[in-house]
Amino acid sequence: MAAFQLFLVTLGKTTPILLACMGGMISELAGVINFALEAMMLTGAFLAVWLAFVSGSPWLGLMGGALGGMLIGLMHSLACLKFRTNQIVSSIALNLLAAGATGVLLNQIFGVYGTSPSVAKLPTLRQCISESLPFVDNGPAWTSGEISILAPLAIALSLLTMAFFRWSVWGLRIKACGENPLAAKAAGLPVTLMRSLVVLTGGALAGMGGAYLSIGELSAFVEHMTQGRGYLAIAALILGRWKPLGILLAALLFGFSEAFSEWLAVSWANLPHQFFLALPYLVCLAVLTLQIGKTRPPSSLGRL
Amino acid sequence: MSAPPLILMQGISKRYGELWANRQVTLAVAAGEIHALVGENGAGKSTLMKILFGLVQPDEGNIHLDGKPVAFKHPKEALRAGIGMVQQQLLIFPQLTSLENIVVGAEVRRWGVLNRKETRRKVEALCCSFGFDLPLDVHADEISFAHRQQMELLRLLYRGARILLLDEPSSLLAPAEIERLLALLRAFRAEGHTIILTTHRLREVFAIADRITILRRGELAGTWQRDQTSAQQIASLLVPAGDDAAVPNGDGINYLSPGRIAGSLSENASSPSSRPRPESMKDQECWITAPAADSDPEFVDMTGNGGEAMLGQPSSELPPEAPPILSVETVTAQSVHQEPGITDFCLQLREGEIFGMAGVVGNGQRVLALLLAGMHRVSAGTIRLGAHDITNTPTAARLEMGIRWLPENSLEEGALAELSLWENLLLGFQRRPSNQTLGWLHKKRIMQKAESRLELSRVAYTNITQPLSDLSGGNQQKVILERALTEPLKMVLLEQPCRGLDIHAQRETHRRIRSLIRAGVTFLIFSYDLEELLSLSHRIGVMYRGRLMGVTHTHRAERELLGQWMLGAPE
Repeated sequence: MAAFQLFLVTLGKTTPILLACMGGMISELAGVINFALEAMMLTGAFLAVWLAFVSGSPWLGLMGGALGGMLIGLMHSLACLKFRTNQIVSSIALNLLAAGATGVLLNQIFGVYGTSPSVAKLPTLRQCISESLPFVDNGPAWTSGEISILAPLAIALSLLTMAFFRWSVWGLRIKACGENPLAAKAAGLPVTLMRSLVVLTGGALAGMGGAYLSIGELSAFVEHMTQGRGYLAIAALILGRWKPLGILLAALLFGFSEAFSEWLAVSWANLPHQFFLALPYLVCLAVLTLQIGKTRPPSSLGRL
Repeated sequence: MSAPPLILMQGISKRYGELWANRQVTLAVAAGEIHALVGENGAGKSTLMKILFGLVQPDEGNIHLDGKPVAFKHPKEALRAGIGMVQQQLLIFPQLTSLENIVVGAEVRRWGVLNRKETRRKVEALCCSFGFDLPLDVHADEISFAHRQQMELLRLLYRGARILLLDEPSSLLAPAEIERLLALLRAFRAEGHTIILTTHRLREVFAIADRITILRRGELAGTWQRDQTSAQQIASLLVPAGDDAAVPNGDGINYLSPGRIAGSLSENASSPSSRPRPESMKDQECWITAPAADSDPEFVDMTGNGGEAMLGQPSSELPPEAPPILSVETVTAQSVHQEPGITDFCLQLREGEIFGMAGVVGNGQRVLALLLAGMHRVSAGTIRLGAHDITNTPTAARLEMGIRWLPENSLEEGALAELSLWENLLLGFQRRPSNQTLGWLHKKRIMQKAESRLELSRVAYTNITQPLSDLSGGNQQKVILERALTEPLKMVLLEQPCRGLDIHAQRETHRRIRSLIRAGVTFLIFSYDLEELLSLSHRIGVMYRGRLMGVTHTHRAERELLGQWMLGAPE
């Protein structure tokens, strides 16, 4: 049963990274560098709690999360596409801004420091099943573990993205924008508009990833609660080579290493706890060095 | 002709600052013809085409298409009207397949889902009817330049373009690929398409064009039917008469220089060019099998390697016992970006030799140049300069030894565009004791020296402290080239030395190179322009997929064979 528990925790830990990573992927496939995933997640996490607090509904909270990510996406695309700022600089500025602003707003709105008051949480998969199918008493055995409904949703979204880039016309066109914006323009595509929309959509995905942290896993916003998961998502994006299946696997790897380090921390309580916190990042570093040189980002990434 | 022209551009003017790119140019193109726009670099051919395609807005003038006035604000509108353009800089999506490259933006689709089967059928039908030989399922960055060009043509045909504008379509193609392109163009004409192409190669013009329009310094020099004019006439019209006298004769530019062509054609031309040429050479020189070419003796003459004759046979200048200076011994190196690496590469250059390295774009020439310049690592093998092993010697030490390098994209790789002229000239030599004491530059002396050098190489500038980016492209190239010829020299690598230079600067550069070899300097010149290499070098080598296909003495060079080598076909 321990293995099954580990699997469920892995899925849980994978969810925020996967959502953010997909958001980053679509943005970068369109040719816009997106290092602002951290900001999108953090803002999403905050707005999710705020909306859930105000409305009392975690689903509205989830929407708030998406809106938070889109807000950062809007700022990023304005800075990069309209005012032609360097895309990395814009991302870093947004990351710093989000870290500061969420802290200030936490204090201004809730009057607290560090952690927000508790809000309603998104239901677990088990709750959803027993609600919608009341005749299934407690849900089948495999739902016995507590896992947020957002986890299967994220996997479904990832499969949807895969299909989108494989079969849809717009997937092809988005890739064309990231390969050669000039040629895409010559082919009659509204490059800037498409890129803006894609960055916004990416923001929504990453924002939902943030919402998972605050109202999926916990039920409150904690300052700096993303803890660099946005950067981990970028690492997963590179490891997954800008391909939907690749990033699903990469996100699972990082999710697993997080889950595994948590498990280790419980099993070896005498080792310093920082070591286990650092483990996922060490795995990330090791894996990235192993596969260096084989990656090929979109040809015009970062170029207008 | 009696029918109204399909395209009529009247009184087109376009000014960039002080420069008239086009001045009161009028162009009439009939439906179903191949119309060649001929002129030197900077004569305004590209601008005129870009105006027609809606990429550039004219200051004055009007355009009529099929009798109706049009003004395209954007290429999209031109495309909708059936006009498509293939620019010199190809627009490809490197990591999409050829098929995707062709159809993106105009896919056959249903509910937003790409119908690959139907899309492919449409493209394949086009391929079939015109005789394209393009692989459809390979990523665009993995196919040859010629195929990428076909891809762009297909993209236009797929969108229903009936009027095709081609800017310098042949400049980067190997001889056999040019033939294929010309065959394609003839197929388009047979289907009723109208084609306007620019080129600076008269050979192709006479092989294919129905009518020829000449532009000269942005102004119209006239339009002729092909069969009512001659290469000689066209060539003499290209450059205003006054210029000819200013350029001394006796160099080997194989472009459309009236001095050379007139020299090699007229009976009483001065000295070596009028020497009778062996009858047997004619066949191999006329490697484009065009009826016009065969029937026109002047044409054959013009395409000939007259430059060599005028050089006084450069290869004979090189003493056969000249000591080897550079030897590349079974060198293997990894690829760089999209440029393939080289494998088991052997090459030996002798002192005072000009060696021309030919080949289609992207066959490892860049990697070889980077290796010799010390910008890339050798994985196996040895490189020797004289007695020294310089296999992986750092660049600074190579500069010390007298190795110089002019990179292909000279402005990006070989210059600091925002820094001053003197700093750009100094770059790489700032450590010399004559230039500094304890790290402090002798600015006054350096600047004086820089001024005299720029004077000598006839760079047009106002102040030695102005940034390099202030100069025109040709002058920038001259500055960077000047630095690559900083004494003392031993071995000079020049990639595309004449890129962006006008005809006079090209002659000047070639003359400079020839005078330097007498002092024992060795040149390895990389160029995509076979004519330039044929007129300049002692020996020519051809690279294909990272290997040296063959080496031949220029005076024994057979174009056909070189062309075969460029496409990888062994003898």
